[in-house]
Amino acid sequence: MSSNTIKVTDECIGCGICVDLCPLNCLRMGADNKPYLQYEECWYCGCCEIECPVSCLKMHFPFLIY
Amino acid sequence: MKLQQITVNTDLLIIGGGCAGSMAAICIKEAAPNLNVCIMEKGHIKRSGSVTMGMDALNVAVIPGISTPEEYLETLKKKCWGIIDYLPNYTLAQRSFELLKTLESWGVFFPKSEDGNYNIMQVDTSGKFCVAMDEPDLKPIMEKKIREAKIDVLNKTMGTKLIVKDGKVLGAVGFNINNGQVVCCRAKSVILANGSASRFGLPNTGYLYGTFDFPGNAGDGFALAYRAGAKITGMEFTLRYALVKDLNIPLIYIVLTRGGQVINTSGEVIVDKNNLSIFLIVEALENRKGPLFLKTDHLAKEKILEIENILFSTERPMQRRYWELKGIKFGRDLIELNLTEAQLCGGHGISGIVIDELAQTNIKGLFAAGDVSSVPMQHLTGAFVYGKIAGESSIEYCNNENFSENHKDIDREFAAEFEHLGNLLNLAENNAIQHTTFEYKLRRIINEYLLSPKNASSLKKGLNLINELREQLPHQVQARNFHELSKILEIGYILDCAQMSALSSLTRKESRWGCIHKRSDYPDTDDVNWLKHIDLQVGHTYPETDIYLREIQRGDGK
Ligand SMILES: Cc1cc2nc3c(=O)[nH]c(=O)nc-3n(C[C@H](O)[C@H](O)[C@H](O)COP(=O)(O)OP(=O)(O)OC[C@H]3O[C@@H](n4cnc5c(N)ncnc54)[C@H](O)[C@@H]3O)c2cc1C
Ligand code: SF4
Ligand code: SF4
Repeated sequence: MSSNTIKVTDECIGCGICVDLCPLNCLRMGADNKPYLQYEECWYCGCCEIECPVSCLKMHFPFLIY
Repeated sequence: MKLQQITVNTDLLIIGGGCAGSMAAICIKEAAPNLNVCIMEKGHIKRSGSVTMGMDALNVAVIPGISTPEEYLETLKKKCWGIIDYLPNYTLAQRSFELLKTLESWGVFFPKSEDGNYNIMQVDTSGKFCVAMDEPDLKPIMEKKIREAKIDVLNKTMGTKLIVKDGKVLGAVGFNINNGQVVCCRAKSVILANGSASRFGLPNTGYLYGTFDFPGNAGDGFALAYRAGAKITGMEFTLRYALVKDLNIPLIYIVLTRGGQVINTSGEVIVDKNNLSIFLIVEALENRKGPLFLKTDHLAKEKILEIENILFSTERPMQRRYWELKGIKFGRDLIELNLTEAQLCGGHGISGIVIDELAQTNIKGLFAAGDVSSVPMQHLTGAFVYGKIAGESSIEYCNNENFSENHKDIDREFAAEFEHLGNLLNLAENNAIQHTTFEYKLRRIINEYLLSPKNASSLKKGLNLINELREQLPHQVQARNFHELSKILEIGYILDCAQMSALSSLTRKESRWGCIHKRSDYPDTDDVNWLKHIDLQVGHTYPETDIYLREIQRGDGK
């Protein structure tokens, strides 16, 4: 699924920490070894962004709520 | 796609690793290091639950010299219109200060004035029970303690069934939502700490996961306990809060206690710090006196900075980006408030598993703590205090009860659940409806038929529709992987909660708690007949349900 909620830059090292820690289990690693939002089940808590060791992930608010 | 089986043996199993479950685990390991403790957590313990990062207040803190447990009980009694039991709430108040001190000793930061006093805020029309906390890392602090104590954690594992035989808990079944492992967990005692029913009513945005409370909690705990024979109470308390419109996150207390106001379109002040009550805002919105706004343009710059500092650092720091996106500035613009979706919660409301002051349920060896249990409006304090109490009680139970090797019963119950999950997966692989679509329909029906203004015809219609959806669920909703299977299970929990809520609302033939339970066919509050709890318990065959009225426990346990 394509979504703008999670945006990742090329600096991503593919560690998977964001995917593992997301409390809603809605991120997955893509074939390019970068995370993407597979399910529109994000609570916009921002944990994925805060936990990223190289600060390459940005969380955006889901379209329906703004 | 195949399910795998594994077996875990432990002394104590905790289902749910939010603040209540984490506290229980830490306390058990400290008090009884010889006991094995295992936590099953649906997400990841470091970040899951209502507190994913930090928190800015402990809403129940009875500080010596400032307030007393008696005063707390008086205030709570008013807020709950009398539907509270004395001992569980007294115990919460009595142990709240000790809890605050424990948190402080762990490095949780409570700001103090120059003269050494805590920052205590009045957030109810009477009594000062809310203490400011300024801790952005509350959840990671707890996770670190769990890691250091070498407590076993099964992340991404949701409890799907409690194993109970002859009124005694023997363990539980867990399901790993990523790899499909089904865990047979044999335990002497189980603590349920898996939160409220957040995904209940549908938010006004239509966004299923844009709920006020943590949307990972779909009423799992209520449903697991109910199916196992535990008593569930207060399900007619369909609570809608007032929060920031669409975003659905709390900031009202923070802004109002620092001088902000809630106004209507004519500029009339509805609530400010002199009459601060969230329920006044809720009533005004329910009675169509809105739209209502938070006003901050009259505040000094330092106050605005103070507000922004708290909002953008502790609980939901990501909101800064939301305000930028909307072009809204504190100190300049109005912020629209609205009602949240309806939720069932023992932390904010009164709904949940019936427990006593020792966190015991009516099932032997099964304890419950936090939002999943009914200690009305216990908030975060209750999750911590009752997490600790559940820990203490379960240690006591493990040390004093005789445990015979009962693997046969456990294995039989596990096999039945394993088969059930396998069958569901086989069916669901070939279904066509997405889980989100089905959930949307169910929660739309909850909004339409189960919420105030309620009446017998709409509640009965709601019950019929819930039954129809129950039949359809396994034959309609698609699961292409284990995550999606977990969503079908969660929809099953929402269905149970909806059914329980409709039944309780039908039973309470009066109106109570303002807009929370307003029956158009019984508009008056009737203390003579209805100053009582309504408890539910699964009947002879699930989902048949028995309904009991229970007297209020008054002061001193009488
Ligand atoms: C946005 C927000 C702001 C709040 N602000 C305040 C405040 O300022 N002051 C205050 O005192 N209180 C506040 N509260 C209330 C307080 O945070 C909660 O009462 C408290 O955190 C509840 O803790 P808990 O452990 O019972 O539930 P949770 O923290 O929700 O934990 C439940 C855990 O169980 C897991 N789980 C769910 N289902 C299963 C399953 N089937 N199997 C395994 N695990 C499962 C979940 O993933 C979750 O980690 C706030 C709540 C929210 C949502
Ligand atoms: S913001 Fe939170 S819920 Fe959303 S993807 Fe990131 S970690 Fe998951
Ligand atoms: S945490 Fe950061 S670096 Fe690691 S996978 Fe996620 S985005 Fe990439």
